[in-house]
Amino acid sequence: MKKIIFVLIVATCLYPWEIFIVANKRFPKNDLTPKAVKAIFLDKKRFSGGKKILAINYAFNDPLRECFERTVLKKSRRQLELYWLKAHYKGKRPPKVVKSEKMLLKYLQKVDMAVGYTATPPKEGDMTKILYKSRCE
Amino acid sequence: MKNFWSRLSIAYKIFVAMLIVFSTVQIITIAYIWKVESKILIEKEEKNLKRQLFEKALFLNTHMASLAKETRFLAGLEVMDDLIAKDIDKRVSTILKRRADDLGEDIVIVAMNDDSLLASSSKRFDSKNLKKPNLDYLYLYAPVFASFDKKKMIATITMLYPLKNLSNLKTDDPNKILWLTPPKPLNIFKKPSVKDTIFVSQKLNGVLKDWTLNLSFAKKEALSTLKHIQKILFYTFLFTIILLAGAIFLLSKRLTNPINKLSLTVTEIIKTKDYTKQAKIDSKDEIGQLCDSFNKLIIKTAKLMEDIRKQEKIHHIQLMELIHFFNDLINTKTEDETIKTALLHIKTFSKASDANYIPADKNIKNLKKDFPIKMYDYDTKEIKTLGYFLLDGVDERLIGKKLFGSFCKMIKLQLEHIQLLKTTTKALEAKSTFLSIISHDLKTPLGSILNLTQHLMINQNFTEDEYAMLRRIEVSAEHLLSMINNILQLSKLESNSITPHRETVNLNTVLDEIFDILEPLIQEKNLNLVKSSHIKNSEISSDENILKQIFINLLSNAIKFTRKGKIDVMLKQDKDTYIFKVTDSGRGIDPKRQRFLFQPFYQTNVDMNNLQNGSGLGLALSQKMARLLQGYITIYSEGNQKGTTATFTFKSFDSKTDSSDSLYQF
Amino acid sequence: MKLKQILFLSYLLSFILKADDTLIPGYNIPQTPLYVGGYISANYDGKREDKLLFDDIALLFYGNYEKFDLLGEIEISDVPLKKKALRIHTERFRIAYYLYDDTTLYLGKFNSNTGFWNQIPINILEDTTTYPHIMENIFPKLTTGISIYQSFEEGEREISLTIQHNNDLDKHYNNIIVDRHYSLGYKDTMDEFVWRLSGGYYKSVDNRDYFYAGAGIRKEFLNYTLLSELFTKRGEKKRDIPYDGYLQLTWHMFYMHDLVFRSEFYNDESMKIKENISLLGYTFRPMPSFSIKTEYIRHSKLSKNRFVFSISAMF
Repeated sequence: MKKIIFVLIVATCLYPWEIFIVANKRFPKNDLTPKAVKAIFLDKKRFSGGKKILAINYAFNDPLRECFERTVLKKSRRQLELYWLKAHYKGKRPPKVVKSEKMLLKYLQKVDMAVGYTATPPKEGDMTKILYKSRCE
Repeated sequence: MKNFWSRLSIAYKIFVAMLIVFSTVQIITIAYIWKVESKILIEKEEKNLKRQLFEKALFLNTHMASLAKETRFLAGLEVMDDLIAKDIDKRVSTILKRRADDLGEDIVIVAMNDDSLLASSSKRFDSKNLKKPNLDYLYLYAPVFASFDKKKMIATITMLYPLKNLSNLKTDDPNKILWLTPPKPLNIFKKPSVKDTIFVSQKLNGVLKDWTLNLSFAKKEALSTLKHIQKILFYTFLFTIILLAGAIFLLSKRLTNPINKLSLTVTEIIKTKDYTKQAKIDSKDEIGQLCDSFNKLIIKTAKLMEDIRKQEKIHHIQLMELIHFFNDLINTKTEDETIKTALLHIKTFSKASDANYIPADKNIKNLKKDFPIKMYDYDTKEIKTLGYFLLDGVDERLIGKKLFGSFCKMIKLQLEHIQLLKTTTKALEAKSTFLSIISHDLKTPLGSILNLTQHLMINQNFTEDEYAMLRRIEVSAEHLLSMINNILQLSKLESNSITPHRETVNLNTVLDEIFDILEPLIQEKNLNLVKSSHIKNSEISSDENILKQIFINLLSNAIKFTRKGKIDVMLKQDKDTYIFKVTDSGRGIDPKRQRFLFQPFYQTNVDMNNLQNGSGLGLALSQKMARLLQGYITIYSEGNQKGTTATFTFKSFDSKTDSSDSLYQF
Repeated sequence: MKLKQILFLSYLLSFILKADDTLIPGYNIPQTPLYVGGYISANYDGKREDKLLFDDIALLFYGNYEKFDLLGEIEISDVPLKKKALRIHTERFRIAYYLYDDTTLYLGKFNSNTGFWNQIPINILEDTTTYPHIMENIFPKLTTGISIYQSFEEGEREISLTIQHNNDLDKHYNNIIVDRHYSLGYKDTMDEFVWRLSGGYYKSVDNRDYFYAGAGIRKEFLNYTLLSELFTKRGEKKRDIPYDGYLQLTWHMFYMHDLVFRSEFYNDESMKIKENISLLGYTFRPMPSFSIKTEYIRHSKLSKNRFVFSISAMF
C-alpha cells in the first residue's frame, strides 16, 4: 500500500527554521494535524493504523527541539517538564532522543512507524514523507 | 670392650643411652614421615589443588558468564537503536569504547550486522578484519533488538575476548601451573609437562564449555614443607643432643662430685690411716645418705681400730711379757731359779693378785691342782710332778688352761734342759779327765814301743823280713800315736780348751814347710805335685800351728786318696779372704757321702788292710780348727774317680770384716 | 524508622544524581519495556496528631508491549515517624489495552476519572500540600473495575465509562469504600482551556447509594493557572452534600516560585457543616520534580486553622 506522495517545498526564503514533520513512507497517514503531532509527541496518541508510533526527538538543548516545542507543542520548557512528570505518573514516556538529523533520517528510513522533525526537507528517494510543516518563530 | 664400658663415667653412659634413644626416635620419625606422611601430604595437596582448581574454574566460568551478561546488557540498551542508523552519531561506539575500557583485558566490543561493522570499541578493528573469524579471540554474541519493536533484530553485539588472556593464567604460587585446554587444539595454549607433579583437571561450563582447566603442582614443592620439617626435626635433634649433653654433664658433675669426694676421702683414709676423717657432702639425697652412712661406718671403724689397737697394745705387752718370760726362763741356771722366775712372770702375766709355788711333797688339803709343774725324770724315765702353782684372782681371759699348759711345757723343757746341761757338763768333764788320763796312759807305753822299735831299726842286722816286720810295728805304733794325739786334740777342741795364737804368719813359708814335711809321702807315691801361690799379702795374723795342721791334713788326704796323677795345691787371695785349695785326681768321694765327711770317725772307705793313717778324725778336726781361725773347709767331688777338691777358706785375725757375718754358712 | 529515612534520602538523592536529559523521571529496566519511578512526600501539620508524616512513599512501575500497557503503584504510607511497621498498599494496578488507535480499555485499579485534582492526587504534582474538600467525601478516589476511553480529534475530546461491580482491590486505600461504582466522564480541550464533566453512582460497603456529579475547569495562562471545581452529592436522607467546590489560583511568580490562593466552600449535611476554607500557600520548586511547600489554611467554622509544610519529590 505504498503511496508515493512526495511534496517538496524548497525554502527559498531565508527563515532558518522550517520544521518538517517527517515520517517513513510506510507511515499510515500521509498528513497530520498539529493536534495529532502534539498528541504523538506528548504520548497521548500511541497508535496509528494499529501500529505503535515511534516518535523521535532531539536532545533537550537542541534549538530545533526548542523551536518545535514552542511552535508545535505550544508549551514552554517548564510546562513540558511539569507535563512529563504528570505523564510519568500516568505511565507515559517522552519520545526517543537522537543526536543528529542524519541519525533521525536514518531512523526514518529504516523504521516504518518513525516520526520526527527536521529543518531541512527530505530529499527524493529518501523513503520519507512530510506530514506537516511549519515555521519557527 | 666391656672393660672400657664399665670404666666410662656415668655422664658418658647416660649420654650414650640418651643418644641411642633420640637417634632411634629420630630415625623412626624420619622414616615414617618420609613413607607415610609424604603420601598423606600429597593426597592432601591434591585435595587442595582440586579445591583451588574448582575455585579458579568457578571464577573463570563466572567471569566469562559475566562478560556474556555484559554483552547481552549492552545489546539491550535503548541507545543501541542507533545501530539502525549505522551509529552515525557514534553514541554506540562511545558506549562500547567506554565499556571495553572499563573491562580492560584488551577486550574489543563491536556491533555488526550481516553486511558490515556498525560500531566498534577499538579503531584497530574494521570491517575487513572481521570478515574472517580471528583465531586469537573468543567471540561472545548478543543480538540487538529495537527497543520499540522487539521482533526486529537490528544488529549483533560481539565481544572479542583475547585468547591470550586465557592462555596466560596466573597462580598465587610460582610452583603451580594453571592452564586451559581448548576442546580443539590451538597453538597458543601450551601444554606443560605433568611429570613429577600433582595434577588435577576440571571441565568448564558456560561460555567455555568443553574446555578443560588444569592445575599442576610440583611434587617437590608440595613436599617442601615436609622436607623443611625434617630439616627442623634434624636440627632439633642435634640441638637437643647438644643441650642434653650439656645438661647431663652438668647434672652428672653434681652427682659425681660427691661420689668423687667420697672416694677421695676413702683413699685418703686408706693412705693416712686416719679413720677420723669424714666426707663432707651437703646434699640430702641418696648420695648424701650414702655419705652419712659412710661417715658413721668410718667412725665405727675408727673406734674399732682404736679398740683393736688397744687390744694389740695389750697383746703386744703380753707378747713382750711372754718373750721376757721365755727369755728369762731360758737364762735360768737352776731349777729353783726357773720356778721362781716362772712364777713371777706368770703372776705378772695373768695379773693374779697372788701367786705361790707349792712343792709336790708338801701335802696341803684342798690343793688346787690347776697348774701343775711337771718334768721328765731321766733317772726314772717318767714324768713327775714337781709342784703346783697357785694363782689367785686370775683373769681367765689372760691366762687360760691351754696357755698355762704351754707355759708348763716351757718350764718343763727348761727344767729338763738344766738337768741335761748338768748331766752333760758332768759327762764332758768326765770325758776330758778320762781322755787325759787315758791318753797319757796310752801314750807312754806307745812311746816306748815306738822308741824301741826305732832303736832296733837302726841296727842293721836284721833280715829283710824282719826289717819289714819292724817297719810294720813302727808304722802301727805311729799310727796309733797319731790317733791318740788326734783324739786328744779333738777332745781339747771339743771342750774348747784351745785358743788360737795371734802371730804373724807367712803363708808361703808355711806352704813350703808343708811340702817338706810331706815330701816323703809324695815321693813314695810318685805323684805330680804342683804348687802355686797367688797371694799379695803373704803375712797374716793367725795361728801357725793350726794352719799347718789344716794344710797338712788336707794335702795328706789328697795324697792318700790319689793313686796316681796330679795334685794341685793353690793358695789364693780374694781381698781379705785367703783360700787354700787342694785338687787331686784321685778316686773322689761319692756325693751321697759328702754330708758325713766332717763327722768324727767317719771314713768313706774303711780298709783295714790299707792303713792309711786315717783315723777318721782328720776332717772333723780340721773343720773345728778352721772355725777357730774364722774359716771353714769345703770338699767338692763328683765322685767316681774324678778327683776331689778341698778348699780351706780363712781370714786374718785382723781382718776388717765382721766376724759375725756369714762365714758360718756351713 | 531508619529504613524510611534511608528510603526518603535515597529517593532524594537518586533523582539528583539521575543523569539524563531534562530530568525526565523514570528509569528503564534494561532489556525490558518496564520503567520504574517513584515519589515521596513528607509534611508537617501543626494541628494533626502525628505532626510529621511521611505520607507518600510510593513506587511506580509501568511498561508497554505492543497493544498492552501495564501500570502499578505501591505505596508505603500513612506511617508516622514513631511507628515501626510498614504498610504496603497497592494504590493502583491496571492493564490497558489499545483496542483501536483512539480507543483504550483499562482493567484494574485506577484513579476515578472524576475531576482534575483526582487525576494527579499527589503532593509533587499539585500546587498545594492539602487537598481541597471535594476530595474527601464526594466520590471514591479510586475505582477497581473496567474502564473504556474513547478520544476524538487526537485527544482533544475524550469520553470515558467506568464500571465497578466488585470490591476494591486493597480496600484500605480509598476514601470511600465501595463495591459498586458506575461513572461517566467527559473532557474537552480548547487551547489552554480544559474542562471536565463527571457524574456517577456508587454504593458504599455499608449499603448506601450515592449519586454525584461535578464540573471543573482549568486554564493555563502565561503566569498563572486557574483551577476550579464544583461537585454535588446526593445520597440517602440527610447525607447530601449540596455543594462542594473550590477556586484556586496559582501565580507563577518567578521561575521557581509559585504563590497559591485557594478558596473552598462546602455544605455537608451529614456533618451539618457549612463553611469556607481559605488557603494561602507558597511553593518553591527548584526543579520540576522537587518542591517545598508551605501554606496556611483558615477554616471559617472548624478550628483547624494551621500551617502546613511539606517536602516532596518524584523520580
